[in-house]
Amino acid sequence: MSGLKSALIEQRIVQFIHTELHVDVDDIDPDVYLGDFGLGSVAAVKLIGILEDAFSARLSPTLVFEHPTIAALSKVVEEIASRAAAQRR
Amino acid sequence: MFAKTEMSAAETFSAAGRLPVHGALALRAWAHPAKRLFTFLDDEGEESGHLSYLDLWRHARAIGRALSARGEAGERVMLFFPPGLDFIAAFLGCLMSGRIAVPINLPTRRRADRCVKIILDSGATAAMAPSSLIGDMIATFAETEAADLNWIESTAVAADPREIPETADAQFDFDPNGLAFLQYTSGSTSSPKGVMVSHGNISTNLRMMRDSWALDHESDMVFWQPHHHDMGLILGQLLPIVLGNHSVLMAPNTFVRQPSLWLRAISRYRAKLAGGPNFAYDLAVERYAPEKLQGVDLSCWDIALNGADMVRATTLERFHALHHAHGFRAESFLPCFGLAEATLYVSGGPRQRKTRVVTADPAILEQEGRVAPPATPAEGRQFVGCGEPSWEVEVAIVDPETGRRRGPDETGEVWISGKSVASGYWRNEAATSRSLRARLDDAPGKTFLRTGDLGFLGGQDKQLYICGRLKDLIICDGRNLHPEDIEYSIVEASDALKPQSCAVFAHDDANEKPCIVAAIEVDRDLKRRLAAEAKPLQAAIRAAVANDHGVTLGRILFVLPSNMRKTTSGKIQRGVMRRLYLDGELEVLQP
Repeated sequence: MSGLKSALIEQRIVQFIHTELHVDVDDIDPDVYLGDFGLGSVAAVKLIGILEDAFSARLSPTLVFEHPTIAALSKVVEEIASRAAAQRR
Repeated sequence: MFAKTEMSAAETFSAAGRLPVHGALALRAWAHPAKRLFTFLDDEGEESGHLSYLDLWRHARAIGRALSARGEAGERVMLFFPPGLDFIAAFLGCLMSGRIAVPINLPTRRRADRCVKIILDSGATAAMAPSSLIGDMIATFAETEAADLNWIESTAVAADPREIPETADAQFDFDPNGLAFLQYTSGSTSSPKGVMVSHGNISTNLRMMRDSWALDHESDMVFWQPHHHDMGLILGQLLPIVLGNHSVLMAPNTFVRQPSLWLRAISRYRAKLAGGPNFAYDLAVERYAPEKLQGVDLSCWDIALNGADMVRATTLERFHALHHAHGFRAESFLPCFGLAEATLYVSGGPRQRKTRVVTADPAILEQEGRVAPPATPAEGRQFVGCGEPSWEVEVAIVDPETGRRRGPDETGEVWISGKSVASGYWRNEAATSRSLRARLDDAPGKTFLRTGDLGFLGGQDKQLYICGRLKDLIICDGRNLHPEDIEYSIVEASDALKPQSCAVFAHDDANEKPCIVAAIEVDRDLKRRLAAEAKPLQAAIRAAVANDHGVTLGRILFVLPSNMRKTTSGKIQRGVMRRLYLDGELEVLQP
């Protein structure tokens, strides 16, 4: 179950990189640094806000710098989101 | 104490519009000490701090005293502050003690060069930061040419809880030409330019906004713009003092992360005035979710400013279409025009009017510099009216080649004259005489600011319309970017492959959003390796540009040296490259 959620988060980040930063989906490797796709500071904060909305969790903008690849960011967002979901229950 | 027992509301209003801004604060701290001036919202949109008029005056006063105890009047003081309420006391403390404030963006983790260049250009010897930041700041500059700044911990300076303002603190006989602060938003990274803003510039500009938009002490505001930017400082933090209102501030990141928190704050505090660059309205549309705006009532929002970016009619339509269900009125949009060299505000309003949109034939506009209806509506280019200029300034539209005035509905460079125009760029006589000392034959004795913007004055509606930039400057997310700075980052992005040159320019994409394009020169050596190394090189370039400038490159093109257009002296012709690219005539290598 948790692997599925993490994949959904990855997909959402890939979609963001594609539409916002004009990078072909085929060129988006989840283990490459987000900065290498041209993710600037404003876009990073925007991405965090979009992930907050999509996965119902409160996220800090610094997560992007602390977990700077798609794979790492998806994993930590997944952890925070499932903790938040557990608390709501 | 003032030689009066009280002042009428009209007297306070009139005096506050003439005093230097720190004098206006003293006046209001005397007249209504306990009234709340600022509330700061945290990243959840909850109140995390506030200041009354008297609180702020006492803090600023104590900082002014601490500054006076060391150094001397006229010294430049760098201000390094995160979003919050500590900045404004430090800024006003500088003004009270005759120091010249230099507000500045915080250095990013990896790069302090831009800050160091500004520190050296301003000749600052002192710097202020709050306790939470001062250790980091000293460490950041330790190994740089700015290592010997004299640091002051502003939040450790204690205010005197008994002190109240006296008549002299209102500074009735201030020198309007005295320098208040340097605004470093102009100029490229390699050669920053500090706009010299005087006490008279500030009080004139604040009065212009107040009167053009009919604001008073009941015109409460919500703002999220950064305080090191002219709009965040002049409008967000100084205008409230002159108005005597209550203003609610939040961090730029709070807005970008959750734009609904901005709209919720406008509703919750019944704000009449709020706004930002065009991209703020785009972002609110993009992130719109009705469930986040439950109970939000935007009918209080009389003035929705839109300035600092190109104002787009489609943005306004989309924003209104989604938000009128929440009480937002289309007449509240108030597109405006301004720039740091004119303190901030030049034109905007009258308020509560339908936004003016002119559709012009692009060919006639470009070839004849004249606004004419297009042959078919589909071919037309839309321009939004950025309001009528304040009565306290003169806006002239001038042919940049001949230096002669153009008529109504004819395009030319926007020139401005008036008491809110800065006297110069700090220690830069060449840039000052080029941009701030322009003259017109029919206006002897008057000097004009050359804005570098291309525009026209509407013949019927007297509004100022902006069509674009004369030079290559790129405007993105409300910021001015110099192409040479981005080109430098690109050339330096990879140690293995250093292109000879590149040209950076911007155009509007299909959604009217700026798209930044880099055309990179590929020599024989680079061409041979391109098939294998194009992708890592593109990644390195995108990363470098995002890191250095916080913006995204839309496209990276590889171009043979024979297709790079340069002048005889070897300067890149960005305008020519841009036209070739847009016309589909630029030959591009496929890696």
